[in-house]
Amino acid sequence: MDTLRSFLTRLRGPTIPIATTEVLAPAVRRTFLLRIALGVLLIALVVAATATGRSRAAADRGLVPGGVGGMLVLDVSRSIKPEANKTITDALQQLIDSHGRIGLVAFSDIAYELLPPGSPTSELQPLLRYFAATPPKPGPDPFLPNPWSTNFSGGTQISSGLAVAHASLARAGEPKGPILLVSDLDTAPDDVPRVALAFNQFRAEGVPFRIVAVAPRTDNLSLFKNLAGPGAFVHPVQRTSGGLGQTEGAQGGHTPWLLIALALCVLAALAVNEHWNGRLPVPRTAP
Amino acid sequence: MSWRWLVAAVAALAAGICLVLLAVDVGRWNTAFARDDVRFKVQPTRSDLWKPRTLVPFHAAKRLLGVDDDLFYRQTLRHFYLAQPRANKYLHTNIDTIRSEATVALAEYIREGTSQARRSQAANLLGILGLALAATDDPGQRLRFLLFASREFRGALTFDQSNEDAKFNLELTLRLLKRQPTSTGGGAAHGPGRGGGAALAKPGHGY
Repeated sequence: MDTLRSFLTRLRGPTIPIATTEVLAPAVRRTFLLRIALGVLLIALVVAATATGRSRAAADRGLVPGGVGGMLVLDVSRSIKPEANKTITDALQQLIDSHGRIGLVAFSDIAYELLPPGSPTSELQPLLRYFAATPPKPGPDPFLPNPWSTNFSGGTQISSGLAVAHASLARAGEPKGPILLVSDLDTAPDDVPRVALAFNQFRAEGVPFRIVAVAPRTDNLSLFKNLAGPGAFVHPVQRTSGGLGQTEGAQGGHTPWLLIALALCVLAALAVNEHWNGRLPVPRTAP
Repeated sequence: MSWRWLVAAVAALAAGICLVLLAVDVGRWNTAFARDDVRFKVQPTRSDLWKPRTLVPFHAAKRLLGVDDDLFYRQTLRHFYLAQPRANKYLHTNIDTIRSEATVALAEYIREGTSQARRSQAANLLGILGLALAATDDPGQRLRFLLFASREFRGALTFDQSNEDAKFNLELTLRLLKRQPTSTGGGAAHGPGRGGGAALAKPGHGY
């Protein structure tokens, strides 16, 4: 016991010998409570900063789960409204900016592979013009036609797009490759069970999948949240000034002010802790 | 010295209050299971079943009781019930949607449930939903859902070999599959029976 006491005394450093500690009791109580309060505050700030940083890191990872490779399943059916083009453009641009590799399946009532898995995301660039936000022109067809608007935009069978994407990945030797669905989720009623089975299969086989909902109807969004889970939905980073061929990074202009503020608060709390709760410095003097 | 006793007394009082609230919550959970099991038989569409209002946060009582799987299983069964596998899909406009949601719920229980017997039962129910979804005019879809149902019934038997319902349903499904036309025209369907076993066996013999 004496050894432990002498060890602790050595560890604490020099102390001032006083006859009684009664007079210091209020200061001890105050310091004790202050330590607890500052400790709780520091823990809360660090947890908040960590959560903020984690959510930002998740956003930085991009749209495709896992961050690399995978398949983009793009809805080109007629149910996609021109107002939704901004979201599609944002998603495509974010993928292009990631400089990764991806495959592309376009689907309406049938699906086909536009780009094989492993294609550079820059190959998506030519698609941007078909989803460019343009003001409607007067006349019977107010929006610019795209390659799918005449022959390939019948119904919507999301399951066919998912199936083709999964099959492409399996053929490419990536059966667990991630899948990103970009759609308004307005699939045919008889396709809903097949979509459910597809999601069940993905979960059972460990295939990560995400959904970018493009101006969905509330009932469709609710249905797909039930089928895929609310965690499957991602949102492309909105571009502050959309423009064709713009090469600015998708994350450009987004300063993490909250994270910075939290970090400053942590520093301030640490400083207060050191100022008020630090040990009393006793200058060493020569005996 | 006295303030230490005060702190200890306050802490003990707080702990005592927490324990009393926890005990109340445990009682509420017990009541909720008994009461809502009966309610489910009368009003299965109620959305507030097995959701007692608790006093202690973070689901402390539920965690303490370890009733997660019981709750998960009940909610999964409720999904199946609402899917009305015997209902005529042409008389219920959104029945396929409800059935789809039920397939997701059942598949989730099969993946994450802890009891093998219950997982087997869930797989059996999922197969039954597959049979319900197979009631369609599209031959391709019918074949697809029959194959799905047979796979789920087999899965049910891998979880629990004594599941007689799954055995019966598998045999029924395989009989239906044998009647399905194939792309080459007539004959038994390819798929579950390809490897031999129940699909090619005479009905009622082996699985």
